Amino acid sequence: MTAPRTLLAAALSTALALPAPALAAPAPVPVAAAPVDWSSTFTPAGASAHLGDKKPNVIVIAANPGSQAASAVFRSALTASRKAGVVIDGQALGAVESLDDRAIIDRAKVLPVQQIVIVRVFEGSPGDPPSFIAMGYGTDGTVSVALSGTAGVPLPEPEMPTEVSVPDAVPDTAEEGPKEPEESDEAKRAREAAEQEYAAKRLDGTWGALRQGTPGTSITPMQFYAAIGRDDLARQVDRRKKTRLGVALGGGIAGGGLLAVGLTFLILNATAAQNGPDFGADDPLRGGTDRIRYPLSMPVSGTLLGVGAALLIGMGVFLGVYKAHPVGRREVPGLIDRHNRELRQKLGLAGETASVRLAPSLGASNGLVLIGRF
Amino acid sequence: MGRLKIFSLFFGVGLVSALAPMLVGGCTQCEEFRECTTKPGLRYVECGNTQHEFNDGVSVEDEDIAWDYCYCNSSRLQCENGSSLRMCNYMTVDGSTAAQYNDGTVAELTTAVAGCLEYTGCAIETARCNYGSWYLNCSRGEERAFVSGAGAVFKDEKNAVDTCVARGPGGFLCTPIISDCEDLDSCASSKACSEFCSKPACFNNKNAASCIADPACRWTPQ
Repeated sequence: MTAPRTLLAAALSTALALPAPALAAPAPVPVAAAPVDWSSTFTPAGASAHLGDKKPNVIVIAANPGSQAASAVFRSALTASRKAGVVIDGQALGAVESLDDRAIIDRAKVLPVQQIVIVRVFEGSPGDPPSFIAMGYGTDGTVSVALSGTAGVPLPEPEMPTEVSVPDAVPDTAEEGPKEPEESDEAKRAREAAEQEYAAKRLDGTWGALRQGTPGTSITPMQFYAAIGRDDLARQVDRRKKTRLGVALGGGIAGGGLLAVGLTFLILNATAAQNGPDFGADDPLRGGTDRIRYPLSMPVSGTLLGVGAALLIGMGVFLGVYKAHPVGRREVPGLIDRHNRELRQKLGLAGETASVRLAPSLGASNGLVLIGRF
Repeated sequence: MGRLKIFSLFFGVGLVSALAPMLVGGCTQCEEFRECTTKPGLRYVECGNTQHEFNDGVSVEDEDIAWDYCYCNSSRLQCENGSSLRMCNYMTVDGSTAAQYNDGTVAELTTAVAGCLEYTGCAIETARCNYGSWYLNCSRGEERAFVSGAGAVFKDEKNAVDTCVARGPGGFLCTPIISDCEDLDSCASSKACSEFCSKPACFNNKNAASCIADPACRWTPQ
């Protein structure tokens, strides 16, 4: 399980603990202009806990009236944490108060940022401090973190994930089974090393956009074959390339030659009378031809033209059907899954479990986001 | 094979196809027609190096064969001494003539024919022929013989003239070949001069046969 996922789950647990009205947030209410101290809420460690070590560029967007102060402090905390790259505010996006999260992300994703944090502040009950919800998204719209809290209360420390996982089929007797023994530090380090190796070697993507590792670097099909240990496929590619080249050259030269010869003499025969013999206007015998005689007659030329064209078309169809690579977009997902599964087995890691995650979503479609992996 | 190579291949084929007619067509040009002497009205055109087309429908690839068909009669003149002559007339080319004996030796046409027929001498006649055709007028004292290009010997000149005149499908006129009927041995021998023995009235010959028989006239293409 990756770090962002862990943090998401941690944040989710907090988000789910919000009072129902705040979570639903049917209509953001402007917060009174009373001074609120957000600096104790957004500490550098708490605000940046979900960022990881890659120092992403972050945009922090105040998405409703009254959230500017909280956003500014959040931004300052991220900057102070030194775990973020460039941290910018949402001025470049213009007015966003009337937009939902998806529309805000659409605007923000063109900026050179990797994280989009949308902050909304809600007025508390009379006498109570305001609360906030900060949703973190990737530029593709996936939820990377969901934070919530109350002014003056520091953000909670990250906790272990609380994913709603679908475990492998086990007997019901395990429901109340004995608690699993604590993992030793050595085992934990070994598991983390295996996870890292898996993350570096796992395959992903589609045919035409194959990737290896996490987040993934592009690899060629030949590298893909090597990664999945299918050298036979690489050898097939060599053979198929030679076959394709032979067919292309043979069909191209034969077909092209016949086509050229046929077409040439077809045109020559069609224009044979233009430069043909001229016996004079007073030709006394009028028994001669007025055409140049060519080695190939019109019917023979037409036949050669047809045969040449058929060869070229056949060659084109063959090259279109008989691809150099023996696998295509249909087979690749299966190969990737099989490789990843076998890799996990080899590394002694448990199979990737199906999981369901929930995250709050505010804006035009308020509610919960359900993210599933099966 | 990449798409670029495929495209290049097809482009090359297309280019060759487009250029080939111009290249081949440019090499195959027909020359001006040449007037032959073996048959009245026969002409031939040379196209490229292998096509020699005649206006009687004959097509010959070999240039020597075409040359012979145009200028040398295939029929041979039988000589008094048993030998034979093949007569060639290159007058429409360079004005020369030739005769080839059956032993392969070559001589000047008129001399060879006179010797062959044991006549004093021969002269090439073209005045009453059309399209560059010809016949030989040979004499031995008062005796005359007329030899066609095909090697036929006639006593009556009009029969030899008949072999050197093309009638053809086009328009023809009977035109005078002399300006004064006095040039004839006898005005009575010519229909054009028989009425008034002065300027020949060839138009009195209404058809080819009449014109060909008239020594003062020639059947001339319009």
